[in-house]
Amino acid sequence: MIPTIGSEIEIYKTPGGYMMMDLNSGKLGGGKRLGAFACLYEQASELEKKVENIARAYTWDVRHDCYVVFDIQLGIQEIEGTSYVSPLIHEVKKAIEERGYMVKGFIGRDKIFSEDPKNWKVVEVNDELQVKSISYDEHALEDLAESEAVYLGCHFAPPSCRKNQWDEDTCRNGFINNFIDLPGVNWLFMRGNQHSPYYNAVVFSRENELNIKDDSFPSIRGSDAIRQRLEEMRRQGQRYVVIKDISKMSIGGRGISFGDLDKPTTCEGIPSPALVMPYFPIEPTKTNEGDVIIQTRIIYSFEGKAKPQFVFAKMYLVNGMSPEPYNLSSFCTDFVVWDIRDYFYYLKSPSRGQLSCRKVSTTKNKGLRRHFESVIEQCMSDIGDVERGLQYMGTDQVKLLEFYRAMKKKKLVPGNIHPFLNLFNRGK
Amino acid sequence: MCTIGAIKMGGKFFLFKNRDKIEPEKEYIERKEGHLFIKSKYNGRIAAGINRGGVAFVRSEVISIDLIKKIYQKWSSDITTVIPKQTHPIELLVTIFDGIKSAMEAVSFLLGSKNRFKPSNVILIDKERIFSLEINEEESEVKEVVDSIIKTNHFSSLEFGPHEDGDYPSSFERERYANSMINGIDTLPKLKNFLASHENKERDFNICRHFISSTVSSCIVDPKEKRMWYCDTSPCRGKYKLYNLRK
Repeated sequence: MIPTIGSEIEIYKTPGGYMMMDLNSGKLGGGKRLGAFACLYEQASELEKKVENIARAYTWDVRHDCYVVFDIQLGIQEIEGTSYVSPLIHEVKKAIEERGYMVKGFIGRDKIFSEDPKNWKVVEVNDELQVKSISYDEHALEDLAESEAVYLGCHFAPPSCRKNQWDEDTCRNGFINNFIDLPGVNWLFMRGNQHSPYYNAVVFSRENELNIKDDSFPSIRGSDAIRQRLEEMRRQGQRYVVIKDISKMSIGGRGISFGDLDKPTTCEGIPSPALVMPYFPIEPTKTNEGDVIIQTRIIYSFEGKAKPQFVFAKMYLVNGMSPEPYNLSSFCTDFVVWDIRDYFYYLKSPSRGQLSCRKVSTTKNKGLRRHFESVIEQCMSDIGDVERGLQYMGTDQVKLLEFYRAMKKKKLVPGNIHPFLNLFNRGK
Repeated sequence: MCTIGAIKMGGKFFLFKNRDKIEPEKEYIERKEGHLFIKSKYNGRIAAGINRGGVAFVRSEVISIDLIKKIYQKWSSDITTVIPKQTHPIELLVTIFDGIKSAMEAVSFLLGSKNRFKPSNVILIDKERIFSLEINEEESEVKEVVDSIIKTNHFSSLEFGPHEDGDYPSSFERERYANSMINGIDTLPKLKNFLASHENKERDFNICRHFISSTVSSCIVDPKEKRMWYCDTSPCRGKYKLYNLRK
């Protein structure tokens, strides 16, 4: 097994071929487009050189010539009949070269939910970022399996990715960022606040599988109990339920499923142990100004997690959804950003390849501003929980690993991530 | 009351502007190490510019419906459109213009500004990209342009100013007329002819104007070669002279 850069991908050579796992590649309805968005936002406002920073964040521990692996759907756009790789990928290439290493090639994932290695293709790119060919190449995959790679499936950046500061803090934050994105760890940190989406989450297990003796961890056991729980959520007005399998990493959205509480749920299909929680208990929110659902994310300052830098929201046109989907992603048409000051920036989906950005005073939509303010208020408490959680654990890797091991014993985090956490020790 | 635009011809982007004024106004070319500007001798306003990075701009003003009515009723030049506390976007841009390396950088600078801007259509261009900005006091919109764009003296997206033909016939008719012609333009001589064109001098929708407003100058900017063709009078009368930033 060759571990690759950033702990986000593993490639195994098996007798049957190559098995590729992309860890934390992004969840259904998650923020995979954030990187693309950040590029656009950078262009539109020039608050910071985020693209370069993100690229450097992805490459901080490159130690050899390596491949760049990315999601074709996000990373390649057709403009005027010519296909180009995204500026982010270009910056990653530059960042690797700045470090004195070569990019051995670009590998694109064609169908992100498929494990078929034939979906991993060699993307030939010229100096002008034009895509010259996309093809399956077994020899290249063989080399990829033996090489390092920078994986660009999940476009979030460590908050400490300040330019030219790839110090221990960067490594620590990279570690924390990847670690706390695990379903179980997220829940452990964020279940204390009544506004948190994890507040009503419970750990479900079949019979005696779950090794929890601590009453402070809400849990339910067995099919009858889960049926009762789901019925209770439905009575409380919840429309959907989300089930996160905490025994596994969230690989390409796998291990996460959504269920309509108005329809009978097959409990037998629920993995164990799993987090069972309401889907969007506080968001997305229908705004007053139109039939739009917004799903909000707060982007925190590089200077500190407790300092929101801007609010980013995905917008979904309700009228376009029929029937209502479990997965809203494909209905997301626009983005909106609030600079925490006086302006909203409305952006069309970057997938169109061309910039379209509208800057509007927040006085034009006071309801949206109020909504964002309330989300910040709520989420600041969540962040407080995370901060307290980190204080509890300590912020050095040894303590984090101790915490991880303790949670692993309780089966509250995936059991197979230990090797990946160690990656952050390399080179330091 | 200008007509501005950008077009892709033979794989290259070009920027152009016909500057129209109610009263005649003289201009001069300011050529410095970092830029080439067309400037008004009257008030120093910059009509168009290009820098060493190959970034170029043009602007046309958008004024309120009330002011348009006053202008057309009085047909007078003593009506000022300057409203206190509004920043002229080009005047702000030129404070950093010499160091700007791409049109996107200029867009970012303007969009990120906290200033309350004078309502304007601005087109920014470099050798690779065209951006059309509508800028107002409280809102702005930027769109990337693929092939060509024409802007006159109204917004197509923002709320301020004229909304329909009746509000400002010249602006809407001129834009429609220009759009109907621009698709056939694929060479520099054709572009010059386009900028000199008028179907009816008694109407005010011509590209080269001789009615309430008259075209006092015309320019074409080639960002790739960092050069500008400039005609210091109506383009139907005068000739374009080439100015090269490199020399």
